[in-house]
Amino acid sequence: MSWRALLPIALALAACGGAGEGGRGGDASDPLPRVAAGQPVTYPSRDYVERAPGRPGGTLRVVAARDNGTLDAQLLADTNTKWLGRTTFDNLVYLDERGRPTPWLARSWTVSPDGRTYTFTLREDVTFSDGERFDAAAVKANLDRIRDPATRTAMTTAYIAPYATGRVVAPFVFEARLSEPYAPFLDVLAQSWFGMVSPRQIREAPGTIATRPIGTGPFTVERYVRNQVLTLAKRRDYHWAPDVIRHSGPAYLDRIEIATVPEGLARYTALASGERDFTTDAPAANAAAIRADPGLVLRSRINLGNPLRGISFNVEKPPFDDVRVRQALARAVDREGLARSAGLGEYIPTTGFLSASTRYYDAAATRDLGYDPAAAARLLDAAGWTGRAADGIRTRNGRRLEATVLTTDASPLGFVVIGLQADFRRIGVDLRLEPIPLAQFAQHRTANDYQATGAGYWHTNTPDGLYIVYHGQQINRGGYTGQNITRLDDPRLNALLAAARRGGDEATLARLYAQAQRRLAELVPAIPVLENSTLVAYRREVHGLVFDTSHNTPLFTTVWLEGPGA
Amino acid sequence: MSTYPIRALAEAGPARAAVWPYVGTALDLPLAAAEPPDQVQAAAPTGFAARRRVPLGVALAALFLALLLVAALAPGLVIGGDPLVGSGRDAFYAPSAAHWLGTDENGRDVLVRLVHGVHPSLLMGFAATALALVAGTALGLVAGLGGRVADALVGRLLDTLLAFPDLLLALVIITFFGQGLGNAIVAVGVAATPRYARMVRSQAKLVRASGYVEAARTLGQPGAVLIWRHVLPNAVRPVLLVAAMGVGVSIGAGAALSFLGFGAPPPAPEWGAMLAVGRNFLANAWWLVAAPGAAITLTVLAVTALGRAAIRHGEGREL
Repeated sequence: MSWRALLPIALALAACGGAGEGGRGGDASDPLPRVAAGQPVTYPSRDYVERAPGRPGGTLRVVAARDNGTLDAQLLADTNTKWLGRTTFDNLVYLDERGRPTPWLARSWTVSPDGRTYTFTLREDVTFSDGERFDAAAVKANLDRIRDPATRTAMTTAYIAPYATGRVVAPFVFEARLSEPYAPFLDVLAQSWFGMVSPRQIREAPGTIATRPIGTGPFTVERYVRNQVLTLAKRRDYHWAPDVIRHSGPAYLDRIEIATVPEGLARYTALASGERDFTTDAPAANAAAIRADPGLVLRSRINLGNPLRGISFNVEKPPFDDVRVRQALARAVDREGLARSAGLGEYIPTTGFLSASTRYYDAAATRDLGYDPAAAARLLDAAGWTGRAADGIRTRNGRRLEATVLTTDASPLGFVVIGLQADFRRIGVDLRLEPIPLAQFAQHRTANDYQATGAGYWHTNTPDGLYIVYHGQQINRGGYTGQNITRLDDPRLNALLAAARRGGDEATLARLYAQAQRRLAELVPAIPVLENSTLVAYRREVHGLVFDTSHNTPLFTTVWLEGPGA
Repeated sequence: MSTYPIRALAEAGPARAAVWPYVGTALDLPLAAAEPPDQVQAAAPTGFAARRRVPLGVALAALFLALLLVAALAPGLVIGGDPLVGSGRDAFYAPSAAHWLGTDENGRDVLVRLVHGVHPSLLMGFAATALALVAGTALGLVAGLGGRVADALVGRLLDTLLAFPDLLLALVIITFFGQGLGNAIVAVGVAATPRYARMVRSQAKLVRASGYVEAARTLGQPGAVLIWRHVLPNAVRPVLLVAAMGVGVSIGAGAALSFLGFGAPPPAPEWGAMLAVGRNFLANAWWLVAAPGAAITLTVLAVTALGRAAIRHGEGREL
């Protein structure tokens, strides 16, 4: 499979941030996002490579918003895992800054003409932190673990669903056989949740992966107390960082000490007071203050995959089984207002079903979903919702145009849905919120007992995220657990996404994904509202930050601290 | 207009004292006892204020509560505007002439939401206290009059309930029955029940042994009449006064539940929930926290001040 260069169509967000290259002066904050909605976004290549050698030593004190409760990246593909997995685990491949797979633990690979057999030639000098050798048998042990239903890695399994069997051809040659051509295979193997775990730990004590994972990564777990603190220590014999980041040898930092602080404001004050050096989850509410603080740096990156959906409809349930209602509601959403409300200008409005930083994002496809209350009203009129109740809610044959949306309580995205509720109210649609615990959420999904679900996003490093979220095969049915929460099952869209999954050249994939995005804009199974941005902030003494090409999250291998004793 | 509540209270004063003859003797409340008598003397108003016998603080509290009652019953009369629907474009505006207390994260006027939040807050305060009072009285009477077995059973039940901190008990109840204003009222009410039950029990025992009950029994009045006519009114009256202060506590507890996300679902304008969302923006939109915080504090303060005044009044002391 060859991913040829996809030339960046437009360069945005790169306007400044050029000041202070290398070691002197440190990084500058990224500018406030000023993206004309519907522009593809690429970031400068220098954000993904080490620009100058750093200074070894010191402990980086990190503060994160949450703790997954497990360090087993394969088991829980949580948003935290994106950067956390990279500290203790390495992957077979790593994407370059344009999204093409490049060597990491796999030195090279070939793909059979039918797209079903991948043969990886592995590095021979890699060891796990328990002394185990990294080889073809280790790769097989890992992929088999992820595939094993008993491991319960639903999300991760879904990404490599076509992986059928693995074969150790030679000690350092591994062959993966797929049941069908699956072009995103290499991309997903680069994701943080596909980090390699010691085969001995998988064999002998898989339960301990959650608390003391053993990988080949630049750091090892020294201490972990759930929801409190995680201390990582440098592996001094590490020398197999991905080629792309141009870093040789071990990480610079001796230690990373990660504290969990769910309160955004508390994370900000910890950073501003110098109690912490780095936050992986900078609160948007305090972003302006961080930018204004000469001692702090704010970095903002749009995640790959699908952007933030304000609401996902269950297209099988009235009133959302009527496509005109869904189209109307998409046009009723004032995304500029939401961006101010949710992110105080740090978030970027979008109508796209793919994020602007994802390959094959087609800005033109969803342009018609923009804010247009008059068009929304016409669509609702056409759908027969012409009556009005005393409180201004539209009615049809005496029935009110109302629906209940399930939200998980304590979701930080809570007020996105509240904003939508107000927008819908203005065109005469009554949306009620039902906050429920996460556990009940799954029950409602399994029972297909919901009209709509609240704000959420799906991050993956390939446009195949559309397949995961909108393909008919991904609906919860007969015991199968998929991610298509909208229950959209459109034959045309299914065909397009399945064809793109089989692969092809650049032009073919661009065409297929463009058509798929246009089809989604017609069907509106969900309302995309904002780009899913990662905000990180750190003190100026922190240098050498490189962004991960798959997740646009921090990579700590190249980070170093300035100052004595740091 | 502003003198109305003060006058009403002042006029009601002597009349009420005449209606509640037993209060002074039967009351053994820590709250009332906590106030040293000499301090009461020192705080006693003189001159013009003394003639009205209403200190400024109580007057202001009554005025504020009167305003709250109007806001609770007809928020539209107090202030115009929609508490639920705003536009994100108007979010985070600082207090100004157009928005006296600024706008919130969804572009809604904070003052409008505060005024519309009075209703659930007061409803929570009064309904939960009423519930606790009714349940507490029933349990207290059973324990106080029902003989040794009933007393022991109710006593242990109350001990068990008291073993949990109020808020924790309320959280447990909400976890079982689901969230929402109705369930929150029940939760706070149940959590407050044991205190009233204990009080009614001891009062009932006291009253049962009193001379007038003895006399009524000697006259051959049946048990039910005895309880209804003599024991209940005399056992409950002092508790009623404590309940007046309990309203403030219930409002606070309701705000706490709402703060923790166990109140009515969004976009309902509940003070606790407003506080909870606002704290995320403390650094750049202080009014989101200051406004509901002040509203909760002032309301609880006003209700408590009036409750305390009522207790003192009931004891025949200076307000």
